[in-house]
Amino acid sequence: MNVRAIWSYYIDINIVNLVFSLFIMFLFNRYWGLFMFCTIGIFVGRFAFWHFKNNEYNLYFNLGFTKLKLLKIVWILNLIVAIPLLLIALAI
Amino acid sequence: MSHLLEISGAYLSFGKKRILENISFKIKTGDILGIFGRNGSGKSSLLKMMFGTLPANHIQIKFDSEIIKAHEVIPQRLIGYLPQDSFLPKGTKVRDIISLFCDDEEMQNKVFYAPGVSKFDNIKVGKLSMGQLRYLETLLVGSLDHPFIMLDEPFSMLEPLYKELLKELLISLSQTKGIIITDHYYHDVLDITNVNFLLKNGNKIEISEKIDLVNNGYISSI
Repeated sequence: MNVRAIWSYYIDINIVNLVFSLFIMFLFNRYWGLFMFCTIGIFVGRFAFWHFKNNEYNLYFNLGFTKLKLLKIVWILNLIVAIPLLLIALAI
Repeated sequence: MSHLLEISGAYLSFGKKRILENISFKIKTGDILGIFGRNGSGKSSLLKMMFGTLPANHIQIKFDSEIIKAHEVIPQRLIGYLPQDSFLPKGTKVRDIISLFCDDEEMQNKVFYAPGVSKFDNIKVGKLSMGQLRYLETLLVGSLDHPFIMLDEPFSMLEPLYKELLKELLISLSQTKGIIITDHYYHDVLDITNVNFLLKNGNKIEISEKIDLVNNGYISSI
């Protein structure tokens, strides 16, 4: 699996996702922020990618990644990041 | 190893407008197939249908006589695709793009040491000339280990020097791949293809000589 390509897509999606999730966190609380980071925030990031960089999907397609596969990877990675953060947040 | 790609019954319509009607063809390793057609004739749509990124009314794809669903073409890495518009991130340096695109060192070296690349490998993709960008993109798609590649307008905006390099590259790639090219630069395409057809009014017309392009109204004279 091409780790560099996955990382590149992950960063592209999550820059927007992170801004969105932080906004939600400040608006409500940290739990909502983490929840958004793993759910709706990913779709917000995908929408931004589709809007500004849609043609770059062809790079990932050529490497064998479908849109669904990319979405699953981002979602799993975000869960891996968010679950420990959630546990820490609950412990504090 | 030789492979065979068969396309049959490709239909596409947008609303009541029929774009492609029952297009069928075969391509095997070693072939370079040229597809001609006026703007809007369905050349790019046909490539996207084969790549699985444009839903077709109907298309059957067979790889080595086995039926493949269009949405399986990408995950099975059967066909590489150079789209008409650039697909590389503009803010990234060429050398980083090469490492991102090519997972193993051998592939990376093939692109790094391809003629002409050393001139621009340290600059950002967004700073490349249109010709350099097109050349780089074709090199990257050609370096994939997919058995077939489809190139949508690879000669577009290329300066003569890069055109010659690209033709040499494609001829060399055809030893291990089947290549499909669509481009309006018919002289360049016909220089390297061994099979050609024209898309006109949704139908496929075989082209064996340049004069056939005139006879079928694609160009007015040779």
